[in-house]
Amino acid sequence: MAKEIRLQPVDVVVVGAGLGGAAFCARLSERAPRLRIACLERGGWFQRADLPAHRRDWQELMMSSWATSPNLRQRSGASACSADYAIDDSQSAFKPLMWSGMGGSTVNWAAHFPRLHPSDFRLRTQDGIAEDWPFSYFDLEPYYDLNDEAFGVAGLAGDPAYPPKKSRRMKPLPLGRLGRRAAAGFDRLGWHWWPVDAAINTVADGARGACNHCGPCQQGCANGAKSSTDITYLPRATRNGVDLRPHCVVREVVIEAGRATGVRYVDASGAEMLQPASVVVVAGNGVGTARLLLASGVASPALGRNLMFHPAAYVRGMFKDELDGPVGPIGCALYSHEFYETDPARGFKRGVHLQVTRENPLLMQAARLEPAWGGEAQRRLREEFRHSMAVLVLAEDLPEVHNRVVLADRMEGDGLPGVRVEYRLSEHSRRSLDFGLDRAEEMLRAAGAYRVVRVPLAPLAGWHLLGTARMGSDPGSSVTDAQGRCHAAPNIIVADGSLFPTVGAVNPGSTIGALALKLADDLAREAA
Amino acid sequence: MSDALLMAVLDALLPGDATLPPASRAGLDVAKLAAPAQPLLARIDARAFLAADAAGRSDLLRAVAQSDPVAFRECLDRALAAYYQAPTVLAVFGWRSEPPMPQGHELIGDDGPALALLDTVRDRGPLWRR
Repeated sequence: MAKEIRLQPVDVVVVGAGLGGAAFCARLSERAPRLRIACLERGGWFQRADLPAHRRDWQELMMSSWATSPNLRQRSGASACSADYAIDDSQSAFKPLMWSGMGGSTVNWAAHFPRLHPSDFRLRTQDGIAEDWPFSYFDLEPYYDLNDEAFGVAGLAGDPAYPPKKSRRMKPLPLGRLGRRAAAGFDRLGWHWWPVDAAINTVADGARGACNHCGPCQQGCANGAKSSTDITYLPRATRNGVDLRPHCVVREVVIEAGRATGVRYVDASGAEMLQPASVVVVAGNGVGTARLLLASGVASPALGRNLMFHPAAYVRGMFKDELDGPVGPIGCALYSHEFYETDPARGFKRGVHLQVTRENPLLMQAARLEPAWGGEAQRRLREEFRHSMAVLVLAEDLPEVHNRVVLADRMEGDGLPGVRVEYRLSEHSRRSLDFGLDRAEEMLRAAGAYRVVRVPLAPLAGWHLLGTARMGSDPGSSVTDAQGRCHAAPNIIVADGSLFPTVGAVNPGSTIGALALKLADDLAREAA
Repeated sequence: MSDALLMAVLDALLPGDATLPPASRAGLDVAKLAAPAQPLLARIDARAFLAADAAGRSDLLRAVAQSDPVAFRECLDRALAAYYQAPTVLAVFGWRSEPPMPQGHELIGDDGPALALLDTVRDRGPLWRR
């Protein structure tokens, strides 16, 4: 057996270079420049020149080696420089999606960048359900602003669905024919709508280009218009002296007498390393963080539980006139928060997010038809391609202890136990989704759709991996305190979406970044 | 026989129409489809399939799709990928065969009138819950 190499101690070791880990590293290294910080990432850097958008077979790659699902990528047998691990999702209504490399899931996110609402932090107080966050929207607001600045948000200020936000740095993404059609539909009904906030450049910014609407955002952005942490926070962190180490798979947070003393990992050469550290920060998303902490023996009854995704469903509308097809960022046209806040008359608490999204490429649309072959399938494809839009419905997932991440009995090739996700859609979520689907259908018809197709559940929408190490004051029902420190070992800090006590009904990226910045400030103050 | 069967199966999967070519005339690299299609072809009675009319071939494919869904889906996915990335097919759908980059695409038209509709939304005042 190879001898473990014991490295020089660092003050802070961060596990994961995705949104939370990268934001944490950049901020901490600025606020506490004397700290020695190392960041270990299980995957490597991707090269923009190698992305599918440069290839003629880009559509096929989207469904194989560059799929958003790590399981699909692995099944295709081709590596796409994401250091994937198998996830048993057979007992989950939604299939976890992620990227394991420098940049984390910001490499293949849609960069739709909404904030939570103030009410999302106060469910117990305002609606008598779930939990309140340990701080408010307004406590987090300065960090939202900092995070916006780092990512460079395109959007339009003045949205009445939110407290006033600073002016967006760039003009919003174009609505296009699809967005204008949808806007007319919302307007006809007198409902709220607004162009999305997107972490996508609409004007060139330094070495990063402006979005040219090429389409496959979720396979990495070829000209850097879409923000991801490999081109935002990680360069800042490196400039500040953070030691970024790719291809380092952390297998254990070493815990002695209730405190972490460092991490054990395997580096790119296969060497086994021990990295001693005064503080261990874990930011591997709601699945990866729970997996590592459970495998390390962190004793916390809520660890891995209360997994939340954002239940997702959609309605497609077909239009006689030509729309844009798969042109432009997929998640980024416009949205409505007309039904976001609680209305007791609906029969459920909280609300839904309606998001008008762009069409899938031709091959993906063809493959999803049922049946996908024969003359009738081709006739439908001819009718629908460049003539459809989808309205995505996201509902608020509520924390439930039986929805969880658990370790499997077998060991995986990366030296960690396998991981299984167990998630059942609740009655509450079903009611929320059905309500949202009704509203989406109403809007599409108001916009002129002559036919609509409801998709009552979208299993491959498991982007948002949240809640499995949630913040709170009770060690019995939460995993960390308000500063992300584990109750069971206070020098282990969680810095990703696992911390969310509740999740609202919008994409979490903006909040994950803001939260990581806040936690970094908390630690920097402590270290001063 | 096996080449003829493969072409016939591909055409049953993707028959085309007045402007859309059938798979056999879409310029596909059929040699690359032979191996992934083999498990499906092995389950088909070639003589009966080739003798059947279009409706009969569809019935035979539906039957084999039920008895061996994995082999059927593997063949179908490869056929769809080859067909819907073929330049002749993309052209019929009004889509170019060059990759998305570096040209990108244009989102056509003027958003001004649509964005003016936001005045109505603004006039409603704050919607968020305090």
